Amino acid sequence: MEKGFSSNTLKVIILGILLSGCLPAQQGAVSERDFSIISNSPESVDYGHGRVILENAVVQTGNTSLERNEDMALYLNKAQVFISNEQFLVHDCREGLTGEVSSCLKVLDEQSAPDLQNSDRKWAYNVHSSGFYQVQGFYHLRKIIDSFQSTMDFVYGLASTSNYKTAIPSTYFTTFANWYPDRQMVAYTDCGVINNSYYNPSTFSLCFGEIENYPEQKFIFDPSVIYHEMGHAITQIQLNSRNVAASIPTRADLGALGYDEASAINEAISDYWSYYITGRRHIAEWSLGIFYNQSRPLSEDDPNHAPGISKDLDSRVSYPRYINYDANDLGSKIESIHYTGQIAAHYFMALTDELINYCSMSEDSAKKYVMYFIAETLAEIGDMSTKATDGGAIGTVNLSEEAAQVWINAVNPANYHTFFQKLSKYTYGILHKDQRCNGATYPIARLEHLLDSYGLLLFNTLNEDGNGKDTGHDGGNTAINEINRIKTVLISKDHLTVDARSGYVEAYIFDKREAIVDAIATMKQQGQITEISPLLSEDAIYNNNNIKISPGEIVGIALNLYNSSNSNMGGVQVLANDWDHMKVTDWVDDTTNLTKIMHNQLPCGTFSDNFPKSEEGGSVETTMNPGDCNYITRENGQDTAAAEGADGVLGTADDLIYNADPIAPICMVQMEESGASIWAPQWKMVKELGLPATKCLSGAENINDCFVRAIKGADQAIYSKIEAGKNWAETITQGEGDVNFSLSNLLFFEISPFIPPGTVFNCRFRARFTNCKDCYYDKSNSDNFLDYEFSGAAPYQILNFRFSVTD
Amino acid sequence: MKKLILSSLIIITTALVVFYILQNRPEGPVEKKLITYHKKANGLVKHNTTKKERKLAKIEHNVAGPAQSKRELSPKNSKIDLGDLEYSNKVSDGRNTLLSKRLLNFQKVGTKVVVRQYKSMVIMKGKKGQYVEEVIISFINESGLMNGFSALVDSETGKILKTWNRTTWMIKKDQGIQYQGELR
Repeated sequence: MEKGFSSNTLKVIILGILLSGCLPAQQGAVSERDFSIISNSPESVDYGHGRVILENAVVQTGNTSLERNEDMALYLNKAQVFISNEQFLVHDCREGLTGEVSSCLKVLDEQSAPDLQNSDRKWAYNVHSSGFYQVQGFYHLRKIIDSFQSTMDFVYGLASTSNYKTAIPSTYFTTFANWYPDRQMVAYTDCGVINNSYYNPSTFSLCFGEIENYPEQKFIFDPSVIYHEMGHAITQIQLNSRNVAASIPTRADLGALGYDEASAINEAISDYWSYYITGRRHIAEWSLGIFYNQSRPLSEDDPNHAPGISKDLDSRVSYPRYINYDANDLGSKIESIHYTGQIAAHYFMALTDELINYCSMSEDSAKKYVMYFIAETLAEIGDMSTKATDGGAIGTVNLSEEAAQVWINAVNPANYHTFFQKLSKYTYGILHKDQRCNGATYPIARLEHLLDSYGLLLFNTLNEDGNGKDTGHDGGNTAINEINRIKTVLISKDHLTVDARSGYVEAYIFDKREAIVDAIATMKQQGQITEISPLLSEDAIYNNNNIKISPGEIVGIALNLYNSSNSNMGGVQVLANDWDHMKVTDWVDDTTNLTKIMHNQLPCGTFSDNFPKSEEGGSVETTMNPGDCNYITRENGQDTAAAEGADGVLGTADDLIYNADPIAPICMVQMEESGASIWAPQWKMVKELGLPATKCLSGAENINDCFVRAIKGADQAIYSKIEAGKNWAETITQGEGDVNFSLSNLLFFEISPFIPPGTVFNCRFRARFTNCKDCYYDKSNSDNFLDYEFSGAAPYQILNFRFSVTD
Repeated sequence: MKKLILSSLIIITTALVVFYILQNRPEGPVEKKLITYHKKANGLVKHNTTKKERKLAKIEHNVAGPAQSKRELSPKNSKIDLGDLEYSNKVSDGRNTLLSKRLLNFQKVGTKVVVRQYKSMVIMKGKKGQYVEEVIISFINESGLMNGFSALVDSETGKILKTWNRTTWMIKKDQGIQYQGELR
């Protein structure tokens, strides 16, 4: 319906003019235009054309206080734009792009089952109609997809002739690694979700929801949200380009928990995609800004920032200070991937400016180069073929194809250290080695200064030689000049401890029945965990909410971590997965099954925690053969060895094949032996009690974690930040001392119902943090720790937590 | 007047019943049939996935897996002859029921799950082959909210071997959990 020029519209214009001085930096904002409602009828557009909202309403008006019920019809672009000459809203991308599917994108309004068909090819609809939502979504999605494709043409062209080792596979296009092979993206432009939008890679779909209490207001009206969400899909594609090229059937994710730094970086890349298309250094001014007070600045010169933030080198949005920083609510301490991601997003913007200013690039070129650095970094980070580059040695990154997913998600994930080390390697390789900075080389000191201004000079070399067990110390690495580490603070891992101050608990135990059942249900729905032992009740009936660990319970444990240094720690991670901390002292030949069976095992007492001592049952031998304490498994417990069989000759058909250096669950049990208390692996207690293996948490399959088992997928916990001289709870306390624990903060354990009450366990957690001096860098080799070493003790602070199982 | 009201009521009721039936009717062609497993107070029940459930799970229009005439060997072992392999498991038609039971364990009554087959493969475990399926799992909560991910599952037992493809949200609100003790 056509309307006249309303008084409401006039108010918008006046307000816009008055408030324009208070606006975030908005390149490309339409400051003076006529906000009358346009007749968007089919007759008003040409064949193949339609109208869309090109920029969100706040950008168009300059008014950050728009009424929530503002009619979005006011913001329809007056000029028509090309939509499609097809009858349906499908995008071919380009020929051969996706393999077996005919088009790469299809847009639907979820509420209307049939595809939107338009035989006249005149794509003009009422703004508050299903047809418009679809046209709006299609136009902006096609725009970013086309931009992504042309960017990758550029990237591939340069990478394929590079002097550095590129991670972009040479078969990038021929294997359709530039898309999700054989999948058509489906975007639901009015998907019915309230107060949210999302990208679901399993169905390769985007969902744009609506705003609660304002059913006419849709996320699809905000193009920066469309670009952000599509940015997640592009990140997923780039992360898996080497996996597609290598025909790996599974995929990598950038982020494994509700809060972790990989997820924060994922958000930052999506925010950068929004800038990439809009040219604006602020995201979602209308949808997130007007309705949720959550729009995000991407550059320090944004007036929304807190006082003290500026483009001065010592006033930037730096790590770890600005972890969780919310420009809209400075008192907030909620752990948030979107806000922590701002550090990376601001760095990407600063890097763009550096290319413009120092390398004399146009903004368009600078943006493309930053995307080039990101594309290389993602391709390497997600590489489950583990070669890192075509022709690279297997195991150069992510240990092995078998272990790669665990390495990517938990053991050596992309955090602010690892991501920015790789990003810097490619930045330097492209700008310096390939001389892409205005045809000249690029001094590393400039990169160091820039990284340092963001607290991101967290590494000592660019680690060009990778992390492979055989090749990880071969070849030279570009060294970082430590003199340029001024703002970045690295802390020794020894400063991360369990809070030992008088009156403080070692750990918080969560065992409330309803809360635990909810937590397990949520983690299962997200695919984070998959199995709970059938020995435990589905209703968690043994959970008794006494804040102690009891037989038959499922418990959450958050270690009370303390930072004893005088600097803030970021990205603190505690691991509860199996690791190489037991020595196999005796094997028995099993000539029937042609293998060897572990017959005795002792916990290692040779690590930095000096526990357990030999009189406590520990092994303090320092020999270096597979299975020994000081030898670290090369294959995360799958090191295959061969021994001679009955014929006494190696290399014959009756050889015994076995895992020479198994990894062990983190919890050991206290037992009595010859009148002394010793620490032993759990399987020894199974034998002593004569418990049938079927009564173990893992069943007969594995009796090593028979009584206390960390739930796979919930065996890592993340704490965004711990301030100097505080524990995590003190750091994160809100107002009245309330602390918001999230599932990401907890490690979940199953406790067997068959544990005799009073049994004492000691769990050996491994912990580290992102700005750690000695968690990633092995000083003895002047290089990164190799991937296999993350199965051992050296890169971590070992934190022992002892508890008695009580009824 | 009473007759008019009565007739109107009958018409409205009939229309509502027809609407409900249409909304909840199973999908047409047999090869496109999906099964929904529904957790109820008295156990698990299954039915053909309705149109409404397909919409909620956002699987209404998504393409099926690549056309697959035969089971593939995982690419890493592409030189192995499938016919000569010894297998550690077999392919069972009951795997999705077993998988759904596992998935709905710990979920609230009223939760539904739909499992879509994407690809069938053989992976190598030592010297033996293992039949596995790549599936797309979609949960539908009573509130209408959905969650989904991809998984590799054992073709016999429905046991999940790997998961990936987690959903990313525009506005993230992590599930909180309250500590019952004193924070010291």
